[in-house]
Amino acid sequence: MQRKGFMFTIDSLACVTIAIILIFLVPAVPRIKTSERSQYIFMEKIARDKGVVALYTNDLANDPTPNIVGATFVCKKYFKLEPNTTTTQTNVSRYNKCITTTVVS
Amino acid sequence: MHYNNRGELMNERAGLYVGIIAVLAFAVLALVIYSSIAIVGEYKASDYSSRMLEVKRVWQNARFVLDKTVSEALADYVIVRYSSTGSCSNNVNNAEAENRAKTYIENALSGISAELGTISCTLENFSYAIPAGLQPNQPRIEASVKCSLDTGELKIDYEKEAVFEKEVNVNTAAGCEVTVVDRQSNEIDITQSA
Repeated sequence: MQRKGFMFTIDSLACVTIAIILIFLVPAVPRIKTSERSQYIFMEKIARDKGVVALYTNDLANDPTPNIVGATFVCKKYFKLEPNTTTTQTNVSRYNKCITTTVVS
Repeated sequence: MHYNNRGELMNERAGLYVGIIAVLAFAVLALVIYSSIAIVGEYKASDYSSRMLEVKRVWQNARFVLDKTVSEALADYVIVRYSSTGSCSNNVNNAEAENRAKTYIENALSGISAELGTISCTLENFSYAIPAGLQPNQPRIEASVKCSLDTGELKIDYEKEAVFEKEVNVNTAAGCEVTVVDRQSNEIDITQSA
């Protein structure tokens, strides 16, 4: 009985197919896992930029902690001095600058 | 084509094809390893970059706080001196005003550091002087502030000099009212009365 060489069998085709799938799938799996982290990093950057702009526009208002079901939010701590009419040093007071995102379905 | 000793038909190029498959398999393996390493490297670089920006952000915030803190120190000094000596003067060209400004800056930075915990800011250098050609009520304060983050794995130091130029004015019409103006923006920082 003739036996064909390896290259002419379904095994070799399966091997090449698996190799091609791995080339695309393996790098994608870690990126799928880090996508949520990428979203957080993006939000953190926006929250930081919002806070820095607020410094320069003298917007020292405190953003309350978001209370929206299903929302993702990032808050950054900032500091300011409250007006003081005494001759003792005022303690720094903290305020938050937050951004919130919600998934619209 | 030829037959082996068991009578099986052999492909003369079988070795070449097997070699190609082997090279392909090794290439896939190398790609998998490289991708994993690259992902970890990218993750760390992104994390470090974010932390560096965080330290810089804290420094920027501290600078704004210290701007007001310095004005408060000068105003408090004038009022305290008036309370103790009866003299309502805008002259802040002395060691007491300088020491009060420096102390207020250090206390403000300690307060910020205590709230944050992970990032701490300290006063590295300080100078207080009346620039040539200006009046004794127009001090220039230079404060070199360093903000640091140390997680054990990563250490970040961000140090930069902040300059504050103020003008102290007093109104003796009713007791002693002091106004500190920021000469860099011409904005009134604080008004305080004895």
